[in-house]
Amino acid sequence: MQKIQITNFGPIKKAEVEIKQMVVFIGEQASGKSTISKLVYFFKSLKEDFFTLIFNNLGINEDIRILFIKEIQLKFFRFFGSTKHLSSFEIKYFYNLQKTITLTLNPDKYLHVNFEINFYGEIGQEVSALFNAIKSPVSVKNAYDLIAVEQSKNKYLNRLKDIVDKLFDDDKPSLFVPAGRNIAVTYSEQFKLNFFGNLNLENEKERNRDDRNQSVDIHLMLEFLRKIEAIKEIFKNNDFDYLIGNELNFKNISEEYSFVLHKAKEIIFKILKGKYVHDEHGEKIIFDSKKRKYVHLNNASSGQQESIRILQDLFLILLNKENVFRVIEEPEAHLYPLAQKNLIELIAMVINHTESQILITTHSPYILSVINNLIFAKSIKTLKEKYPDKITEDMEVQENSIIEPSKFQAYGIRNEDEWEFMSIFDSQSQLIGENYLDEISRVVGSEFDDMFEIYKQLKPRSRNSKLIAE
Amino acid sequence: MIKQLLNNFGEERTNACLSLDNRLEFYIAENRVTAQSYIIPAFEEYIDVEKCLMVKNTRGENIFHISIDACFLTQQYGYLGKKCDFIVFSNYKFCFVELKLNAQSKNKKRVKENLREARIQLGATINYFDDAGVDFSGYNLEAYIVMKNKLYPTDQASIKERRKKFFDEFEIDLFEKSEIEF
Repeated sequence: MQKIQITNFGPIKKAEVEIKQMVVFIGEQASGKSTISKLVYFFKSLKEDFFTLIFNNLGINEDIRILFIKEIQLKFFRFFGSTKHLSSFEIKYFYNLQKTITLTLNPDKYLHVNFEINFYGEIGQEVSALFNAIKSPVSVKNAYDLIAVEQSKNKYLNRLKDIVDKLFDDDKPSLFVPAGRNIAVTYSEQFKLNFFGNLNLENEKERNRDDRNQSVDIHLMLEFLRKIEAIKEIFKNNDFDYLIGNELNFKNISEEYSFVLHKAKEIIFKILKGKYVHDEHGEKIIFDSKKRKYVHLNNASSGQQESIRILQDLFLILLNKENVFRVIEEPEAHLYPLAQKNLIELIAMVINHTESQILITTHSPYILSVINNLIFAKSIKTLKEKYPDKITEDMEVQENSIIEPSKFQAYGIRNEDEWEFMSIFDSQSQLIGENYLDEISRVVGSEFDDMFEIYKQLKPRSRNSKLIAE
Repeated sequence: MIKQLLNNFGEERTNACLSLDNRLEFYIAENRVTAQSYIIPAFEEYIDVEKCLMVKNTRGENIFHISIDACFLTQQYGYLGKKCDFIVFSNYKFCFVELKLNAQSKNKKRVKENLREARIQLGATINYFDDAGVDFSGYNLEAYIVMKNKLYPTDQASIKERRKKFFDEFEIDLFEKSEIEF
């Protein structure tokens, strides 16, 4: 299993996080949960960077390993800013038990990237064999030859992807879904042109230091917006039903699995409070199909805007049975608690029907409660199977959304004397245990209790005076 | 307080519904057949704690219990109104209790109705004791609605609102929980 060890980085003194299929971070703002999730994403997405690096440097005779170190240093700078002011730290990512990359600071405060000795293994030979195959001259005589060349290019790309996936022991494409993602709905086309024009990765090197310092999260948003463009294209003139029907027609999915997708569609409908449509007039949510009442997505509620892209992404992951890695910051943002529940059920469906990994950061007590229920449902299901003769009520939790406890981990981050980072998932009870949200609930509750005592003392009473009068 | 009750309501009536216990922890439940509440005796091996009020008696004092429903407030005594299930009291605290354990938390409407009904029953019993001239001075007065409350988080704005409204009307602090501490 992949994991990350962090010592003395940013607000985090010490942390170790196992990357199970579903991971939840809960903690106050500025407690480091965002930093850790960005670090996990940083390492998980290195394989895509490595792929791009090889692809862009096919003709160059430079040592790709040295280029990769430079790429990692540059990426770290983009994600976390300058390291000049930082005290020494160590961040170690385990792709598997043997394969690690460690980041530390040199004495002169530059990022030092250390690969485990056997990290690259046989990749050098595999890649150079691939290079040679690509370089070998191909004569194109007619259209068929051209098609053959194109096909072989694809074959090489797939081969390269396989090599990189094997190297990182991970084949899951990664995406960071940042908070404030409603920008992905509200930005205008003109803004999009400027945004992509000014911020694309090719221009990154030309931007000055101040610009770069500001781009830590913008960089993640940029990657997210790129993904969104692809998602929007898929949904253009195709609604959820059409996409499911299409997969069924081509026999890419079974009838049985189409029920799962329809269930996912229903959950999405509940969260959006309507049907999402992307037609020639743009994106909209139809909330009364009989009267054709709708709202354009640009004018939709902040909850709808904040969640639509996550919902589309999760649906496509299910539709294509993709295995992906996602970091979703505050999935609860702008959502009513019941919609938060539905969203977590949808995420649990993705965990159940794919090998995907989803890391969530949250402040919501409802999210924790819903997850607890879905995990507890697994115990109930096991007991029901063990004692089929015992007649009980049916569970309200959908079979599709039950969370297998072994696939789940939760971490709480709280401030005592220093930030303490710990697992809050009790492996014995197989539920999320004490967490700081419970404490806050108690604090707020006792504040009311204290005031209520004062209220009782101040408020004039009639009971005793009534008795005296009698 | 016990003397006052005996004086106000008569020995026979009071004693018929009265029981007491000084264990550090015990439970009060409702008999399904008679609808009377009772202190679950120590020898009872199986206690369904989800269907009881738990009494924590940290000082080991005598805690008195009077079954109100189906005993103390009945037609026999000319009472036809609403009433709560029982009262439980010590030398300094007096509590009115209504058990609402059949409310299913998944049925929101029913929970709401049950809560409303419980407040009416508690209020009617409080009024009855007030009208009978029971002097509560020197006592902490509390009212309890006991229900399987597994809602999360436990700190709910609606509970606070109900507590304040109840206090404004009856001058008694209302709690929605299944445990009383003496």
